[in-house]
Amino acid sequence: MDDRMPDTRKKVAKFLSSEGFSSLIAAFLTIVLGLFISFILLFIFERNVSLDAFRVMITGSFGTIGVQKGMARVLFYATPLMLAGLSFGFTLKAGVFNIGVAGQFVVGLLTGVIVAIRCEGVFGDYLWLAAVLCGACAGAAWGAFQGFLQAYFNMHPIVCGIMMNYIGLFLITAICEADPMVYAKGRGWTEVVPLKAIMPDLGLDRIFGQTSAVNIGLYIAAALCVAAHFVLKRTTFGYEIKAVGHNAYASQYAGINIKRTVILTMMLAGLFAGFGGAIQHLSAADTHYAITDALPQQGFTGVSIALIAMGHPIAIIFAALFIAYLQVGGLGMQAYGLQPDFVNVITSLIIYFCAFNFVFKHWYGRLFKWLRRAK
Amino acid sequence: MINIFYFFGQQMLLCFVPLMIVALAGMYSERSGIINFSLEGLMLAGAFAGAMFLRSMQTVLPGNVAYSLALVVAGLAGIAVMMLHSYSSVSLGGSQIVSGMAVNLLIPALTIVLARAILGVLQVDYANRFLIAEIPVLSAVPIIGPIFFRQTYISTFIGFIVFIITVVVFKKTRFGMRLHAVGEHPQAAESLGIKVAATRYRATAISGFFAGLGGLAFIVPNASEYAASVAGYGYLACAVVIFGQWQPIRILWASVLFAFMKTIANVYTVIPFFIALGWSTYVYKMIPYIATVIILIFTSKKSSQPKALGEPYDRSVK
Repeated sequence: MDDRMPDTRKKVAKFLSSEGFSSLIAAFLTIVLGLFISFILLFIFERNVSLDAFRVMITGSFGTIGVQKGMARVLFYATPLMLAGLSFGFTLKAGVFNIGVAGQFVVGLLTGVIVAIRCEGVFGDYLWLAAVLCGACAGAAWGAFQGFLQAYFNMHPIVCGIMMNYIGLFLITAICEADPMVYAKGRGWTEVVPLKAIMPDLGLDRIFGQTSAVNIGLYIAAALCVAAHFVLKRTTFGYEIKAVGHNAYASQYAGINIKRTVILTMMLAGLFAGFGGAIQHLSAADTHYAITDALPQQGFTGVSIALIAMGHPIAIIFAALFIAYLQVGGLGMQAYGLQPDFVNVITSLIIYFCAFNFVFKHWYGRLFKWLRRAK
Repeated sequence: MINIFYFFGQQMLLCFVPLMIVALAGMYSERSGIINFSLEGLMLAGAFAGAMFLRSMQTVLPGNVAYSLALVVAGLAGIAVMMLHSYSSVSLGGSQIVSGMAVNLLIPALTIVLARAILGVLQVDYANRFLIAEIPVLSAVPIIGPIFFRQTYISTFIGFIVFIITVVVFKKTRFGMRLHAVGEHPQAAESLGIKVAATRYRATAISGFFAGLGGLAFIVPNASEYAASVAGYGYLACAVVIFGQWQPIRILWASVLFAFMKTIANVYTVIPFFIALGWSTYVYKMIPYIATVIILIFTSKKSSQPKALGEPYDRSVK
């Protein structure tokens, strides 16, 4: 049957049955199912307002506050999420479930705050750059340390990540507390960072208006995602990461230094998360960082994003935009007496379907075969 | 001094009991080969359902009757949520960590949304009238009496009952043996006529029940409201299961150790020795986690992890 088909149709058929396209279909199905089931849940519990509330959430980012403002807010929310997601997605390729994103994120964030407040005189106009880079390096160091524990002591990555999350959080808070200029004991939040530590807009304010908080961080985040994609796809190191992820024993036999690969992967993951943390706080002027004993939510949202994107760095950009879009829209649900956390219900349902999305792929494959046979 | 000792013991039990119950819950599932990363979500589900029950029953039933029933309700909620994870892991062969993570993210969000939709506020509060001041006769026993039988909660005893049940189940019963076999080598187990999927569903249901129960047992002694948080105890319990090498008695000791250090962080301000040290609060908060990492450094080399843990069952593989 195949060789009688015209050339273009054959190409289309090949594309439609390709691995990449069926993954895309599966991802699309998981999102649609997640949205649908969460809507049913909403309908059961809040019948009267469910339709309006759901509409506001879906269109809210652009509908209620205008496209320009809405877009700015979505991009602003998406920037740190993109990096947290990249941090998780990158290690996923090496077969490591890096639950330590949240800890690396907060270590990067508070290191950025410390550098911004303490080193104003040293770096002058480039204070923001120094603070962001120091935050990223601190995150990288923390990630590398976790990788070291995993590689050399055979420590379970999840347990190690959970422990390192809390140690990192409390350690960096203790360091902040040691310096009254950064965090006066018992006040509950850190001091405001100097204006020079706020990242420049780089022309983005002309698109999104003076009040928008979108800044150069967006470019950094997107560029890092693209760079990570390049590393994974085109370099030996990227190949080694994926090889270790597929089969650690076989790659060791093939001469790959597994310990080195794990530590480097974790270091880069920490670097991304640290970047995310620092960028998150050095974005908007005049904000305190509230000191808490809870891990930052972005670390876990990042995990969601990476899972939805199946760890693909470019897909993470879009997944982060998607989640940020829902989060901004979700804020509008408060007008209906609903909690914006509803967005997390949707996200987690999508992730739930991601756990067995190969089932959807399988269905799609069978449907496709059936369609071809029907012709 | 002796009063501080008793106070410390009582505080430690509040930490220890829920941690041990939830870690044992995780063990049931993991021994059958299903990674239970969803313990945090299960605890939250149990705590939410239990708190709702306590809230609605507070004028109807006497304190500890309501609490006992609420623990059962919490357990049932745990089972209900766990079935999401089980269906994905057992029936569909999905990624167990991912669906566990999904449950962990779903439940806090869902319970907040539900609390606001049903009650109009974000916290589920209830009258906390479950403290047992003193149990006659037993509280007079030296040392043990003041720690276990004064200022205590019914959940403390339930925790020890759960432990005993677990030891018996795994050491003495046919079900425990089958569960073990399914987690080590499901293909071999099936060839002997053990139904792999059914055994795993049962194991995960028990896991869900105890984890939900543990969730309520955590919030009742510590707060008089449910606020969508169990302070990361579910994640800690995951660590304790691994730390305890999937064996009930070791899990007990791991929980004791962890609870001991956690209690130091909670109550160091009343212990003269620690006040004299003058360290930052955060140092004490870090201690339990650092100690766990150090212990794991020395114990992680050999792991008695169930062989089939995390692998979806494929009967065509030998």
